[in-house]
Amino acid sequence: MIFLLLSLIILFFLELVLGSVAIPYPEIVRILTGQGSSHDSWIMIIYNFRLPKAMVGLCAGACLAIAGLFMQTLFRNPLAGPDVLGLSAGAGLGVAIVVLSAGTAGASSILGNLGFFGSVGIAIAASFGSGLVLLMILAVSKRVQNSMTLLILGLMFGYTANSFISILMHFALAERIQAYTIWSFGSFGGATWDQIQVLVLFAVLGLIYSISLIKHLNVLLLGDQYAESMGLDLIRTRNKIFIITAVLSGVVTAFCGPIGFIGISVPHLCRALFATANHCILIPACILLGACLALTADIIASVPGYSITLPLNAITSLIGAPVVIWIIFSKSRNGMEVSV
Amino acid sequence: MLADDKLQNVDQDQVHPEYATGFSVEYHEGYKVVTVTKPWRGSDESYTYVLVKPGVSPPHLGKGEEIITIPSERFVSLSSTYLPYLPILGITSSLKGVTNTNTVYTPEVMNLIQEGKVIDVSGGGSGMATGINLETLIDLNPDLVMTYATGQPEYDAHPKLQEAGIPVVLNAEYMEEDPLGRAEWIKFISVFFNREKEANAYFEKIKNEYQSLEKSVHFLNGTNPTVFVNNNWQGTWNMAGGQSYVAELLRDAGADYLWSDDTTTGSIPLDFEIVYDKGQNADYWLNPGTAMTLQELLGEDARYSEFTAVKSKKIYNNNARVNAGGGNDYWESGVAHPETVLKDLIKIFHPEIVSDHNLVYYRHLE
Repeated sequence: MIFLLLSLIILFFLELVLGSVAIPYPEIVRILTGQGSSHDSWIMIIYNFRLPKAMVGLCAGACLAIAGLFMQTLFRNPLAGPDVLGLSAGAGLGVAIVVLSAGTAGASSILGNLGFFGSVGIAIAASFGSGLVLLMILAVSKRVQNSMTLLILGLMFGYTANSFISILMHFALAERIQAYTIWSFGSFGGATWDQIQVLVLFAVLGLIYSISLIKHLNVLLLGDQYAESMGLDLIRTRNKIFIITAVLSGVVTAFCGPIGFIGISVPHLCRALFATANHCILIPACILLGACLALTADIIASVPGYSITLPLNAITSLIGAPVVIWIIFSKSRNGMEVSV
Repeated sequence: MLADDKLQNVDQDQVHPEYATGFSVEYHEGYKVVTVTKPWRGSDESYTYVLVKPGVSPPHLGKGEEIITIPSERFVSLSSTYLPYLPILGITSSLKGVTNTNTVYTPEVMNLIQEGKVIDVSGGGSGMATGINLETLIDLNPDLVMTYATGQPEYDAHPKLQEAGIPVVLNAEYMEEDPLGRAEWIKFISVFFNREKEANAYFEKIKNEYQSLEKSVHFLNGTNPTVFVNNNWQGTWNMAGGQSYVAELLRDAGADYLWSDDTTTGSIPLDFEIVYDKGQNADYWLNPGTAMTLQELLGEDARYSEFTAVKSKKIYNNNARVNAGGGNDYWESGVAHPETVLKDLIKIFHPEIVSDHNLVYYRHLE
């Protein structure tokens, strides 16, 4: 745990030090300690480009990892992640409606003057979309006892949202399709300070609240029937977990676009690292490791020293997938199977 | 009207590209051979078309050569960029189908669409080339379909059309990065209608205009204003490559494009911080996406306000002529009129040279 914390601190600094613009290390220290710099633009780059990006990456990684852990525990399914409820797809639909209509004269004058094509507008649209899917899930959840049924329903909501996105894309202008595609690549660099405050607030509140669920989560691992016999109000607990997952993953998707793989892979990594299923350990571990993975991916995606960038989403999968594969193989060699 | 039987070496009746590098035309007794050398980026195959009068068969057919009967009288255009040339060549009436009627800007074509004489052949939408309604297209019974190819089978329409036995030719004007080279594809289109004479006359006119504008900028003393283009989207800034169409225009208009040294033709995805570092003190900012007003632009990202070009309000966008469907005339008639686009740019960078010109394709963001 200490090692994870140290790694996180180092990665956070690396995120500030490494970037396309080469800023000497002593200058960065001077800028961060408020002593100014010989280049005004460097101060601007550190404070308005890299620091926000690092903060967003940290929060996004932590939130997604926790959301993934909760989904895997709730559905007792090692393949579950924050996107199984269809929330990311819902967010994507909200964004598609706004982004794909941009550039047409009618939409531009109305939405544009509301500032809707900016990152704030995109965030609002995404939250709205994932919120709508969440309401549907909660409405259905009251009637469904079995968690596995809900998992299927969530996937179906996701497919439905995605098919609407396809239809919208079919009718959109080519350059707007490109804009939507870029959003779907994911990025920590699109958020500005006023939005980061919102993201950090939600992330901190969500993560604190998640600690209160530790006991429930541990009981859930033993099975729905057993949990109920222990006096757990299954539906209420389930709804709490849904809401927190929706807030955590929804707010990240809103500001960063869909970031793949962190949610599904980090819980597995933590279980392997700490050899435990106890959420008391897993929650802080997921927060730290999720943030580490997100920052690592972002540092690679910004290709330090070069001016080009790579799609963040591709990098998260590229560094996450081999690790998970390795864990699965090393576990099977020891006669163990992947579990939740 | 040119007589069809005069496909002979009369100079005015022949086109030969000077700037365009993507096609060539050979004239023979009774037929013409048109070759498209590089139909898309990274393509290693060329396309050869043998153009004959109705009922005439050419002496020999090489491998992969296709016969097209000309002049075309039932023409379908799968890109709006070919449309402005039709009125110029006097062949608008042969147009029977287009894609994305809601984004078409050329007035003569819009009238035909409203009269129902030109049909929309898109698959109901305006996405990629896959959005073509093949049945509507076949029903039109075209004798020539002109389209572009990307080399990606899922987007390209021409293999499907060839399968259906429809005469289809590939136009690769978008591969030309020289503005005059791109406009010179009017000659390519003219060949299929025996309108070479009109194409030559038109191209000569815009070439002279373009070059005299270019010269007038050349004689200026003093330093050129610095400029950067496009905008940030989700932290990535797609900057036009140093050898791209946009960069060529900026150079010819007497501006110092900050990414001039770059060697790519397409666009390069950059980190926002690099663009800020290099462009914070630039004099001008052009083509910043879809914004129609300065307020809209600043709403997209508050960090834009740090640019000197924003503080001094020297931002110009190429969307002065956008219709309700989102069609931008800069990419339609603007391609056929590089001299007008150049004049716009000179008006922005060196207004004293073209003081009586009012911006056509560009708007000043205020």
